[in-house]
Amino acid sequence: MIVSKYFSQSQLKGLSKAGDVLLPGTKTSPSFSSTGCMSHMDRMAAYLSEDDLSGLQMLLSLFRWTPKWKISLLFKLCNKSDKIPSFFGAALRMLEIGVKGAVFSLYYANVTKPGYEGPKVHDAIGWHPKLVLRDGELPGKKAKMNYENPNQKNVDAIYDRAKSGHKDLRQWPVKKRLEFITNLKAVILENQEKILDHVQADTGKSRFDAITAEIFGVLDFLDYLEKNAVKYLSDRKVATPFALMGKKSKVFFEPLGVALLISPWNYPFYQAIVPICQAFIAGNAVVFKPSSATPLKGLVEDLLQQADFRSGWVQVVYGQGSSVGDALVDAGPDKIFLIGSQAVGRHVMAKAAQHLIPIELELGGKDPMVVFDDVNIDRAVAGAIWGAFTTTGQSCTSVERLFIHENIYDTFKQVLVKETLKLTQKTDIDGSADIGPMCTQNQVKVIAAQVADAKEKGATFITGGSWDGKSDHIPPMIIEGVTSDMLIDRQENFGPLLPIYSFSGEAQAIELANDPEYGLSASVWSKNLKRADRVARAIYTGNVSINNVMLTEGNHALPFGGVQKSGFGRFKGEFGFYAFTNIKSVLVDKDSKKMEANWFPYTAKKYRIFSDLTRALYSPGKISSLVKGAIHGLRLETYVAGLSKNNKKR
Amino acid sequence: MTITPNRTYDFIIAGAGISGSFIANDLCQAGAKCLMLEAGKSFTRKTYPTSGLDGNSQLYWSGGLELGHDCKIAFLRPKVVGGGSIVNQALVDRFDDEAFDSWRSVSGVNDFNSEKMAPWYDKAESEIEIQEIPAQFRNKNAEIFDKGFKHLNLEHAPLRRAQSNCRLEEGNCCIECLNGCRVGSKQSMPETVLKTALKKGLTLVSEMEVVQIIRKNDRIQVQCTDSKGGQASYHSKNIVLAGGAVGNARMLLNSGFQKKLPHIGHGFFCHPQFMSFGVYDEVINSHLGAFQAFKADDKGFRKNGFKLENVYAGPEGIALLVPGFGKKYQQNMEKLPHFACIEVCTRDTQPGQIKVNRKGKVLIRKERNQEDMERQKKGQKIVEQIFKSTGAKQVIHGRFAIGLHLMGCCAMGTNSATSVIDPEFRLHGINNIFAADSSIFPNAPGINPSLTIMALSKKAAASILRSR
Ligand SMILES: Cc1cc2nc3c(=O)[nH]c(=O)nc-3n(C[C@H](O)[C@H](O)[C@H](O)COP(=O)(O)OP(=O)(O)OC[C@H]3O[C@@H](n4cnc5c(N)ncnc54)[C@H](O)[C@@H]3O)c2cc1C
Repeated sequence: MIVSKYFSQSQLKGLSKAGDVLLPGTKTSPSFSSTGCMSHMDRMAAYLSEDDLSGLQMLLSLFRWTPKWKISLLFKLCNKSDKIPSFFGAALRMLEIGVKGAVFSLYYANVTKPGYEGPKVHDAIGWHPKLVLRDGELPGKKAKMNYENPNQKNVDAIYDRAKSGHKDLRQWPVKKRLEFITNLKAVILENQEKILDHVQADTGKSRFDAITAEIFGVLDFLDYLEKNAVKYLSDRKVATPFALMGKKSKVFFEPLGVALLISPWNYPFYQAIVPICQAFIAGNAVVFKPSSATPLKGLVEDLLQQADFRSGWVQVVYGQGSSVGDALVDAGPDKIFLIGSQAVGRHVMAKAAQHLIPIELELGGKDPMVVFDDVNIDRAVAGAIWGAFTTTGQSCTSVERLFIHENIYDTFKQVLVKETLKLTQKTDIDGSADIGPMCTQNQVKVIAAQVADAKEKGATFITGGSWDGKSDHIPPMIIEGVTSDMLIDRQENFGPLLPIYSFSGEAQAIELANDPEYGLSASVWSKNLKRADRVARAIYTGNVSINNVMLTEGNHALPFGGVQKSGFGRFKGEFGFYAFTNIKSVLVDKDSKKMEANWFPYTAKKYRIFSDLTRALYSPGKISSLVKGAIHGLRLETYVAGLSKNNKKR
Repeated sequence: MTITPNRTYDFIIAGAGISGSFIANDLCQAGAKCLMLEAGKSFTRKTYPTSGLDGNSQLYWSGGLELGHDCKIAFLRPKVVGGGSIVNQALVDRFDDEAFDSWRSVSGVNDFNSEKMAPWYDKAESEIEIQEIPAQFRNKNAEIFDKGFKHLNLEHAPLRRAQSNCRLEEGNCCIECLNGCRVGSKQSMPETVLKTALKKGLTLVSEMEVVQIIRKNDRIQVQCTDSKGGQASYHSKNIVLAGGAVGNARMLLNSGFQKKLPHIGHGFFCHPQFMSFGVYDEVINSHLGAFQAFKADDKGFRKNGFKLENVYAGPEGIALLVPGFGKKYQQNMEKLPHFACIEVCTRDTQPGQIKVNRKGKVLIRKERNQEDMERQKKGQKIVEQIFKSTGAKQVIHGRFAIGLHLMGCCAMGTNSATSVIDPEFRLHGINNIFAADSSIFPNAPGINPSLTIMALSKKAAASILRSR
């Protein structure tokens, strides 16, 4: 789908149709639409006068719904315009020149859509003029961009491009930006298998994990944007109080500028597209740095290009966080959005602080799952297993601590173990494996240390105890007897580890679930929804699923984010739009001779009236205060008007 | 953004086209503080558009073409630093007695006289290089023109072009220069007098359109909008209007001067031109090399009010002129390498009028009377004969007339009821508003205007400096 700043999709369809009537193609010449020259329409439209542009828009809208034979008839009539007198003749000539002008300029300029491989128009018409240019005459070459381990100069060039990209992008209305989102959706669908191959190659995760989280999740988010972005990013009127009568108050939602997005390795595609599109839709140019562990090299930019995103709008930069990431922060984006670990978050935030760059952090969690004794055990177990082991436990909202009511503890544990042992683990190609191996060797080491520590301190490994501490195929581990002095209890483990605990009542469950450090998400399981609601409120965290697990993320209308050291700020949902916007307050008054009562000069009399007004307005009694307020307001206005008249005379 | 620089200039020059650049140069050389405001963009050899698509959009008003009220003529109005000198075919020619005599008789201005103008032509020509195309570089389009004229016993002569070094021996093609000459040969203003004016301290602000001229206590205030819709105002003691025929009329009409000078906007001429193509069996490749080497020099043509031009255009332009559409049309366009081209340029007798609407937008009214159409027909008949006599199998006449010598609307004359500019290049009755560009033409001369605009501008600059 071609996106134009000036023409709607239906107008472009009209142009394509009219273009093909005029230039249907021959043995040697391509048809108008096949060359994709229409994708260059804006190069022309940008310079048309307002009247000409709106005329052309109207005409093309009309063509959209006119059958080709009628358009053809119309142009035949145009051929005879000289024989048609006055106004109608002129209208036909204008139509002919307008439409042919647009169609022929595009077609005979020999421009095409990217990747066009059909016959070239200039070959078909034998147009090959030559001009030998010398140094000093050659057009300035576009700087070659380096996105892999860029040095300082490259980083500057990347930001220059982003800034000019932003300048352009902010002129596109939200509705127009959404056309690129629609494009991207189609491109992702079309490339689904390729994306999944890429994700699996970089992460090793199971294909099913990949399709649900990375493809479905992304498309669902883009769908959400399509349905909601215009609503949330449109100007809003807000109330103006009595004291400011006659004025209007509005809020604009404007982009911030260049957003730097830094993503982790666990969901490399989702964590790329979702923040990119969230920042983009608000009108920001994006510099995106994927994790060096799972960069999906070349994929994201390729898809965006296929979706017709312009080059400065989104740039993907590769390299280590410690070098490239730092340079990107120092280059001074207008906003930083980071998903990652506490350590990285702390580091980047400290750097951002030096430049006073606003930042939002989505860091790790140590998420509790609380299961009361009135639940359907089979369902709760299945939820626990998925919550703990999906993507091999490498989600920031994985269940890392499972609290089971003592009344059902033994039964629950028995089913839990039985079902966990059924999980299959490999990097499959047909979607049949449950979990894959670990993504990174680093994380394997972290887990090995936690496991060794727990074993030494006496924890019991009900499953997975035979792991050698090296293989990246870490089996799901259910662990009992975990105490607060163990690393496994204190650190985020980001792997397939599930410590289980028992509790006796609601109060204890809440106390246990409230982690001193983290607060990203939690889940509460109980048939008694009132109790579940109570517990959900009592847990200090950013997201809670009741009788389900990790599901707040399943609804893109819900904001996502944490408390405490799990980060701050919210993205996705209505509030997510504001993560990347300058929420601008605007108060509109009319130009007039009127002076404001609170401006200079201050006089004793004015002071008295103002204090009367204050008392009248804010004393109890609705009607009387309104009436009195109006009276004193009028007094004040009359007095101020008199003052300014006298002032002038002086 | 509102920029209101407080500086007062001696002269504001509105329009950076041929006249504006010539006058600015002479004023700056004499030490005047000058500010030049131009609505179009500024390009260099390195940045001129390389595709017709961008050329039309970025170098002309309204994104390429403008239409009159009856849509019978497509007007091309340059909008770029350098004005017409960037996009024109650079044919330079002095006016003959016939042109000046007719100007003198309608305007009452005695200086319109070949002898009196000769020194100004000399001075203008000394600012630019003028060359003829060497015989060995004439392409087949030029040869057909040559052969045809010889067959029919018509007078023609080598053409003088404002160019310095096209490096034709390297295979360069003149057609490439119609969106701005990237080898710097065409003697456009930025390569010649504008360059020297800038060296002498001229301030040039491009993408700044003059909207209104306000005269207060003999001072000039100019209201402008920039290309992004921002506003600015500038101050000066004098202003030189150099926006071309349509541009000047528009500025004056939007500023209300028609109340005193009712003739503003009247007397618009454009030498309506008609391109025709001869289609040959053999390959002509009109677009390669130097397609334009001759000019018509026939007494009979002059008497009949037309001339023939040895020209060519880019594929987008030709496409618009070739009639029809659909498969057959495309097959015709595939024969482009077999096309030769001659243009009939008519000397129009019926004046048109430029008006502005409430939004300040230009409205062009330009009709052709019986005589003007006769002139076209006579010209086209000879074009057909030339093509046929040189073996063309088919002749295609362009669908539309083209207007690119836009002239008049602020005619010079002695009578303020029937003219706008006085013989000293001042707005009648106003001593600090000047003009010497294509807008002051009293009628259509029937000869390419640019060299005469340069000469008149030289003369105007001298007159302005004398009166200071
Ligand atoms: C395609 C083409 C080919 C031509 N070929 C030839 C040829 O071979 N020989 C020949 O002699 N003539 C030729 N001409 C005609 C010649 O170029 C013009 O007659 C000549 O340029 C007119 O000069 P000028 O100074 O009056 O105006 P221009 O050169 O047109 O300059 C006027 C400038 O003023 C600017 N302007 C207008 N209004 C405003 C405003 N309100 N504010 C700021 N700026 C403004 C315009 O943007 C423009 O740049 C050709 C013209 C065209 C278009």
